[in-house]
Amino acid sequence: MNNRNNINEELKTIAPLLNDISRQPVQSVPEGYFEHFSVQIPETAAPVVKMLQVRKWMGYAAAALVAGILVTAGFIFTDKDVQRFNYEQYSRIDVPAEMNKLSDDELQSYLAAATVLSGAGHAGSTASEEINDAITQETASLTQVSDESLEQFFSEHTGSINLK
Amino acid sequence: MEDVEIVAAFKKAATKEKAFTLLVKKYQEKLYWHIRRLLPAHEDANDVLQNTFIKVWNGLDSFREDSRLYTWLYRIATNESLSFIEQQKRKAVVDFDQLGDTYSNSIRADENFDANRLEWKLQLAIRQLPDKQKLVFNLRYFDEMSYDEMSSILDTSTGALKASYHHAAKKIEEFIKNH
Repeated sequence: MNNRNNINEELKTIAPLLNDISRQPVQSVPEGYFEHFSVQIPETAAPVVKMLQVRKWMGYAAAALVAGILVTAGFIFTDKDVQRFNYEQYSRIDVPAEMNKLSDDELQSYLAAATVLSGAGHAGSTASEEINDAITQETASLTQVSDESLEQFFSEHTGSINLK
Repeated sequence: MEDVEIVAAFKKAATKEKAFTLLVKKYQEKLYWHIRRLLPAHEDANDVLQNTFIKVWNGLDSFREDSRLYTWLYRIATNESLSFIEQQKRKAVVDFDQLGDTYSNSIRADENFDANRLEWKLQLAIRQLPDKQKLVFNLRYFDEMSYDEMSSILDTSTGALKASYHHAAKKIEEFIKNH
């Protein structure tokens, strides 16, 4: 009440009209608002940060597990192909005995094919000799062509060339 | 129950909820009207009052009894109201000047509004004041606080508060005379 008196005295000097106005609230409020008012206190939040740390750790573990499975699977499957090429199996082959099983015709045809592929072999039967023969024949035929004919040929195809 | 007893009961687990209920019952109406004078819409005032009491629930354990509970509660309610007003201003829908008009319109939209009554003219006049002056005027005129109490709520010197209150009272009287 002391405050109220001070306030009224103060207002008399600065704004006396305000002392004549009721201070009771005039705005409307829903009926029974104050009687039924209650505060909704939220439950304490869960330790979110810790949960996130666990999840992060689990994420890394899952990624490592998947990577491990992929690498292991890769080794297993590629290893099978390597093992299929069994060197021991080939070391056990008795080459002379296997050779004896082949006929003379089979051996001759194998040797002929191998000679053609390697570029060596019997006279008159290799590809390189056939090519050399063809070049020699062409060179010999060119010596029979006159210089004028050659000059004319070159001038027609590459411009003027003096052979002398 | 005295404020000191309420605070002591709140700090004991067994009586915490009962003490809080008593505190809400004791101060809900005063705080509601303090907020409502700053935010004319009931829904806004209700939201801010809820937030105020949630802050009180979370902070009362660490409340230092070297200040009065009453002024501490007003301080929280004031800060919550000002934060709410700031949020409203930041919303792109209305700018600062339009917000003042919106608040004045919500006063006129009240079902009890009567333009001829001085009490409503007073409400419209208060709405024209800057936020700080509005706060100072309301705390002194309606809540009948001393300048010292207001100073502990608003962190402003008593001299500045007195000057602000006098300016506000003169402006309000002028507005009422002219409308």
